[in-house]
Amino acid sequence: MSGQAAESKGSDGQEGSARHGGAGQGPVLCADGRPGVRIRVNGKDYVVHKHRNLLDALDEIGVTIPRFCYHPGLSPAGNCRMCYVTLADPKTGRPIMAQNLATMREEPKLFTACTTPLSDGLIVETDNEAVRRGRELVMEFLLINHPLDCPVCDKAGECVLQNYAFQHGRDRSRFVEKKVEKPSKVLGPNLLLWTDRCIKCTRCIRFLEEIAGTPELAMINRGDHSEIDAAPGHPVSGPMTCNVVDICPVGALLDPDFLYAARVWMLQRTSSVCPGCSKGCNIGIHHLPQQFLDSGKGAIKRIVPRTNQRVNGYWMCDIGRRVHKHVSDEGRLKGAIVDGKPASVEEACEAAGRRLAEAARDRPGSVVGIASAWMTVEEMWLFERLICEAIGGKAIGILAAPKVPDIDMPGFRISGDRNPNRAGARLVLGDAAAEVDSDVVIAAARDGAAVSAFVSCGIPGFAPPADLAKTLSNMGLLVVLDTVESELSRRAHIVLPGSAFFEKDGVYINERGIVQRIARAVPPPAGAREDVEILQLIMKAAVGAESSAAAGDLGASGAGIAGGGRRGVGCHEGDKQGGAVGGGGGAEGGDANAHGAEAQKDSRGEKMILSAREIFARLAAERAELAGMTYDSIGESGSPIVQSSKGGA
Amino acid sequence: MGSGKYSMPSDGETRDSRWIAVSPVALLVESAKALAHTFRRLVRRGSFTVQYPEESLSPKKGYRGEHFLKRDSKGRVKCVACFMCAAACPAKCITIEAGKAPPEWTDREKYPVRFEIDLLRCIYCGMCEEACPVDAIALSGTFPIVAESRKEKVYDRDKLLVLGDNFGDKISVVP
Repeated sequence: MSGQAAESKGSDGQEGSARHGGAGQGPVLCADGRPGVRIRVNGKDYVVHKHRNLLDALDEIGVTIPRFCYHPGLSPAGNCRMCYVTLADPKTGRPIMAQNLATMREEPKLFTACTTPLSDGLIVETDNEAVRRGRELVMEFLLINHPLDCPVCDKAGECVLQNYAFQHGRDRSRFVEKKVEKPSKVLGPNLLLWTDRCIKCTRCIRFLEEIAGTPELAMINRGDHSEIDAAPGHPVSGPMTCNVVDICPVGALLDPDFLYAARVWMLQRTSSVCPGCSKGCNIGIHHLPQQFLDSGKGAIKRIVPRTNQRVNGYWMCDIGRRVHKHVSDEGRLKGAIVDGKPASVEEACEAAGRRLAEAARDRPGSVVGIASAWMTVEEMWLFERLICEAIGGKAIGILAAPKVPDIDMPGFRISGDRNPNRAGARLVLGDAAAEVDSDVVIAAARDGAAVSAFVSCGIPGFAPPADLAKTLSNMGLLVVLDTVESELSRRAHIVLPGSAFFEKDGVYINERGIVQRIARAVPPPAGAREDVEILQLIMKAAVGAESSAAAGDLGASGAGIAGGGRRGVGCHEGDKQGGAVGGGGGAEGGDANAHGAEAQKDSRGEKMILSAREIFARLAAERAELAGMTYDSIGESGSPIVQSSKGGA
Repeated sequence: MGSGKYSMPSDGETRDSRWIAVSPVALLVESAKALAHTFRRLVRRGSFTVQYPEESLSPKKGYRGEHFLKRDSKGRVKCVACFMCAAACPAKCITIEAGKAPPEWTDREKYPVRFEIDLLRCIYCGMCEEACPVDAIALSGTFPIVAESRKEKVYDRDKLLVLGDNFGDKISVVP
């Protein structure tokens, strides 16, 4: 599985030796029908895919052997000598021997699995006496100059050297001489080096060369004194720098942002998707669990890439690693504001819904809604329901972070579209997924005399173009849903505090049409709410304002969500098309009423609020592109949209 | 590995059980001793109740009281903020915040910016002391441990250091 991503070294040198495995009639096939290779590992026969080397093949069959320098996303170097195996002659079955120069005895020769090409009929032993002894000796050499400062090392707990020292090392050191000490260095703005912890695996050097394409690091000096360094005056500063921190098997390379922030065993990991650009890299959000949450410091400690060959491989960029920062800063909206005065979220949503609906009733077509390319598809769906059906306005477009040039590297591409869900907007909002500028708003104002706007943003550091901001702030009523204080929220009459990507569940669709889930790692701060909840509260208020022109003509689903409980069953009598959808909402409402005060009196209050999961189920039932998808089927690795109509990207 | 390098010394429990198995008479002897003790107490006059708090109690050896933090040879906090005590603590009463050591500490990289022990949550098991790789934390023999508010019972880093200064070296800690 891992070998598929490695493009560079596909087939050279492997085909030649593919025949001496004995009976070779017809091609060998794997269980999935792809061509395979027969190998015998520890006395058992396997057929594996044609990986580029033995180590990947062993990984495939679940025989894990230790390695420091090998990384499936990089070229094999064979310099740590940890992945030792012994081989046997395929013809005779006898182990390949070599003379031990210390004892002058013949011993099984140790091969590094990462540089052994996979050939048919290979006979491998991974756990015999010679191999175990070889690994133990490697560990002893590696630990000679390693400072063993695990208590102050940030890598402790996820350190490969630490783990292998337990599994393969000696229990005590025989080394009594003085260790070589080397000074720590600052290699770049995002990279620190503890030189004496380094075990010279050169993963960082190979990463920068092969993936980032900026060979900034090199090994200098020799023997005991060899160390990683950058050229003087040329700090490591590319956008992919922090990946070398992840792939460093020890705590030599560290990210100053995570330095001493937490011990890794305290961190909880939540699988999510990076919202930094439309590529949608899979990420793990590492955060402190509830009991360690301190006020003041951000709960999110770091963001690391999660392997997904379909999307990001093993890597992610530094921009994505810092993408949570904008919400951790001051300026976070921690409460609703109505006409300059703080209000509870419920009051503000009530006011927003009522006033928008009234505006739409008084002057039909005067309410416009502007979504954002940072909303999840669930929020977009609710948004459309809210604006078009509950309020009776018009969704005119989306806000999006401005486009920047793509960053292309040999092994990675950072998309210039710095929005996670433009494809989702195209799918859910359709025509209303174009980016708005002031012309659009003015045009809408001209033909519909737009006086009120509902704007959802959530884009970090977003400042609307001056003329758009001016147009919007001239509105009679401007409602803004955002996470941090911004140009827009300062001009708004009603500000609603939403949540950031790590505080909510939802679905993003990336530029290549892969539907992926984001997940809530930490709850939104007190005072803020999940966006789907706010949208539904507004919807409820808008429908509740019975004078609303749209109220009679409400879409079934909108009524099911917003008014189902309060108005009772009567509300979905006149279902139009989405009977099942509205009915679902009704069932939900009835259920909540039945449980009433005793069980459902949780944080969701009246329990007319659907979760993002439930909303996605309704959305998936509506859209052919999402047919059959649920949160569970999307899972952690995402699934491509169903190609029925147009491709999209 | 698995070569038995970590085998525990066998004493205590095994030896005792063997001894009892060899001479069951010992049980009778011990029982007789215990009964003798009981009767002696029965006829002896006077009370054994300590008139606390007028009379002070001195805890026995092995008693574990409130914690203290030690200093290194240069008078700095010895703790390196490795979180081992917090990880070992079964009551989760230790809160540490690590920080980069001041630049003038040339030999140190990391130190606790914040180190708090909630003594109301603590169960005085001594695991923090066992876990500490630099022998920076210990439990003293202080008795009694009283406070007038809950807040007082959350000891911060500086209070723990002062406690260490006051009696750190004089107190015999858990043997």
